[in-house]
Amino acid sequence: MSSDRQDQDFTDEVEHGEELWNPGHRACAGCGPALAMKYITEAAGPNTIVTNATGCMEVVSTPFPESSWGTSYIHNIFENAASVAAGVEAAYQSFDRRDPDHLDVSDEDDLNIIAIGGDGATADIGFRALSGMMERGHDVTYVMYDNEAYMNTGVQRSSQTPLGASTTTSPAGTESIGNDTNKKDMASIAADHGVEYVATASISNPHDFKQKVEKALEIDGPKFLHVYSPCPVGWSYESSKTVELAELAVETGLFPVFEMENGEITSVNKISDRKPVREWLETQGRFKHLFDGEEGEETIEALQEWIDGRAEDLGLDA
Amino acid sequence: MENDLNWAIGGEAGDGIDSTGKIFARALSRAGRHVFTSKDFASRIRGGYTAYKVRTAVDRVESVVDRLDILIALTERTIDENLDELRTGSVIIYDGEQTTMQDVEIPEDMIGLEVPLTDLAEGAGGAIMRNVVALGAACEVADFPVEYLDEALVKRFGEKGEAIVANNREAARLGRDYVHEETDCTSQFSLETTDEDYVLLNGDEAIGMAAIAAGCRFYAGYPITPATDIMEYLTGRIEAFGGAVVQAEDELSAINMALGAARAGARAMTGTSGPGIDLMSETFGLVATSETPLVIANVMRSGPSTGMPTKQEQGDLNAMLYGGHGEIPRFVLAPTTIGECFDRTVEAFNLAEKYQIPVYLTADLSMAVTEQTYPPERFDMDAVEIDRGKVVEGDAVDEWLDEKDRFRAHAATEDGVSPRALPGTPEAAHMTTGLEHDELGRRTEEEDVRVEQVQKRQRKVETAREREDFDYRAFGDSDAETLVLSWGSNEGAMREALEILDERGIDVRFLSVPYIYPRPDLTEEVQAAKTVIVVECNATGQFADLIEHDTLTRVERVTKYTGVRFMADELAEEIESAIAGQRAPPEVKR
Repeated sequence: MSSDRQDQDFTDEVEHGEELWNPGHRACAGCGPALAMKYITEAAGPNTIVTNATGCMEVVSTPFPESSWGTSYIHNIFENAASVAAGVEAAYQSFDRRDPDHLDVSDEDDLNIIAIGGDGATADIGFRALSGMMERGHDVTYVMYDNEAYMNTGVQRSSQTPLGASTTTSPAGTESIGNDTNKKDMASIAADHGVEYVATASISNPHDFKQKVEKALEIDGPKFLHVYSPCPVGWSYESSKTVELAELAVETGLFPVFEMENGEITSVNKISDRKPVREWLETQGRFKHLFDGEEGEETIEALQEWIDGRAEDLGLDA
Repeated sequence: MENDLNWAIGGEAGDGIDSTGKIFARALSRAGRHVFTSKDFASRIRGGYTAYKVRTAVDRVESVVDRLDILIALTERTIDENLDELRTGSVIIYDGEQTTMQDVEIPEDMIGLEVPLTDLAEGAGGAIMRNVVALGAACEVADFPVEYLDEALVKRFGEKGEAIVANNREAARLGRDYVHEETDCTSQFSLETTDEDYVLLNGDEAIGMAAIAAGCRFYAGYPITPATDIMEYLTGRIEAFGGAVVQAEDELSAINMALGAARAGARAMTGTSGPGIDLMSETFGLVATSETPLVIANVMRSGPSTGMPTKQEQGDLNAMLYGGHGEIPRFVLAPTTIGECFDRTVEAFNLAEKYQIPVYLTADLSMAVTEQTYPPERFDMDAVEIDRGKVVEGDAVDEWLDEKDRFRAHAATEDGVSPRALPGTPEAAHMTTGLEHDELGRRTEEEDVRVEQVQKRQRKVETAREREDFDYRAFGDSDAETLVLSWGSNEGAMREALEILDERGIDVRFLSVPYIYPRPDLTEEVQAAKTVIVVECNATGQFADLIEHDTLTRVERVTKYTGVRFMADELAEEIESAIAGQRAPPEVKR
């Protein structure tokens, strides 16, 4: 059968239509990041070059002999999505100078260059490439889809894994409460590079996220977007709850949604009656151990304190 | 009645294939049977064909074979993918009531065993247990008592509570009873059990276990298939021995943290696969120049670049031998079986410290994803000897101070190995650098010092060649005209190929070489043979190149780079053709 598959040309069978992130990809049921890809491409349109780091979204969108991408697409190595995007952008800038009829990177109607990476590929291994791209000022929109661990390799912690989460490399047990660090604040790090436009968004609010992608693409220079996208497999919850959990993360303040322009916070999606983080934790298997004893209780309190502190800094509460 | 069994479960990634296969493998090992498992898989994400195969016998089994007796097919594709391995009389267990399986055609000479897996699972408490129902059905077909599954089910589901375990036990029994009562399938098997209680482990776990036994107390790594299991094994275990695992943000950081820990005096290790080796190669030079003892595990997969992350290859030999700019003294060890992963890991730590040198310890994907049974005494923790080399303290330090009482950390000794003072050793503070340095560690570009230090570092390799026992293991007929050489995980399949060849009246001498650098001198063996064949999983024949270089003799190359390991019968064919001198390029199996 596999030989038949190799001979078969599947490209005729797929109706691309208007879709730029096409159905039939291999993401798990309830995949949050897959929704993020859909929204990114819908907002960006067809004149887009995507550079994609190794990770779930690369693996699920490119099974031989198919592709989900209706845009130009290049996969690169784990740590290099920002560098490859920077190279693409620098080349186009140079083409522009030589040939006035060439696609113009700085005109958003002409060409968008978007780098996409997961939380591990962005905040961990791709951090220096991201920093270099932002610091040099390339006209690239970087989108980090955050599912809070390395899911493609089997749920190892990343610097975006929240406090208390059990992963295979931060397993909960008698000597451990799970992951012992809070999420690294990538938005502030990007803003501190002098990036003009930085925003966070959640897949639970597609309208907001797509508007932010559109806004980013209109601005020259580097942009950084952090989109929250739950993973049913890694977090251990019913796959129908993805959007609900993404929204609950926003409502508890675990994931605040805001924009920063030129280093200043310019808009915050305010929350009235912010829910305790406990309500969000209870929904996922990875936090189950926190409800077993005193140490878990202390961890929940510590996480709540961290959230409260950020909420105050951001002016999150309505 | 057959006592040997080749069994598989296949379906979509995400169907729980892996954990179901593991339950069966564990049950067999607890029943005192030997097990050798293998996996076909694409990625951890749902979608794509995945299978878990179990070969079991009362005697040891060392490889996979091209044969399946019982196949649990959760998808139609599972049957198609395994057509080559299914034989007359093979039993295919499937759920005919499942919509996607209603039109399944079972080849005429095989037995299609329809079991309503999902319905029965729902009867036991939930459709999610359909794989366990299938396991119970397979037990009945194999005439293997379903009770042996019980302990494995506790191990798998114990955390979820007693009720879940009980439901799964019930599910297995419903599967068994259905086959017994509702079908006319009679077993052609009788799986004997013994009093042995084997441990079941993969190559990564053997490396992790050996690291702890060998006194490794620091591991830094970054998630990468198929090396992550080493880190996962050590996480949560090494702490009890006073050690630590740190997950780095990338491989650059991983190897540099390991270097730091080793400089601080810990036995340290990092582990990765090909792409990580590329990133680590700059620091690899620093490890060697600073004479830091470090073990770097490389569990190889298909390259270059992202390549085929879940597929077998032995393509990194040149990268490990020659990687990094400049001339870097190093050792490269390549265990050839899962059990030997334990021994060579222990040895790697001793070599690293005795010679203050980076040591590559390389396994390949086939070993990392294969689980095999061993008697527990195979891994004798008490027999592990730890040799930390020339560590000096107290009065012994005085001997190594220069006229101004400075510690000669890079003294150009006769054997090339300098004294090593761990941090905190009084009178022995010294500096370390990746720049060329004199014996005190001070940066220099003086010609005679440069020459002295280069020679001293290279001399360590020569010293090891003289003092250590870097030998091969021999199998087959020692007087045979045909000599086969291989490295890495091919040993198991090759040993079985010897039996097949023997039956055909072909005598072969087989040498399995676990030491790549320094390696045994094979000149005599090669020259005594009429035909020399080198077997390896890469396209160009990297090990064959080394043998030709060492012995100035042309060799035949049997290579495979499809992403799938060698099988015994396939190897026997290849070797037979190579002897006949009419070997065609390996056929790509689709």
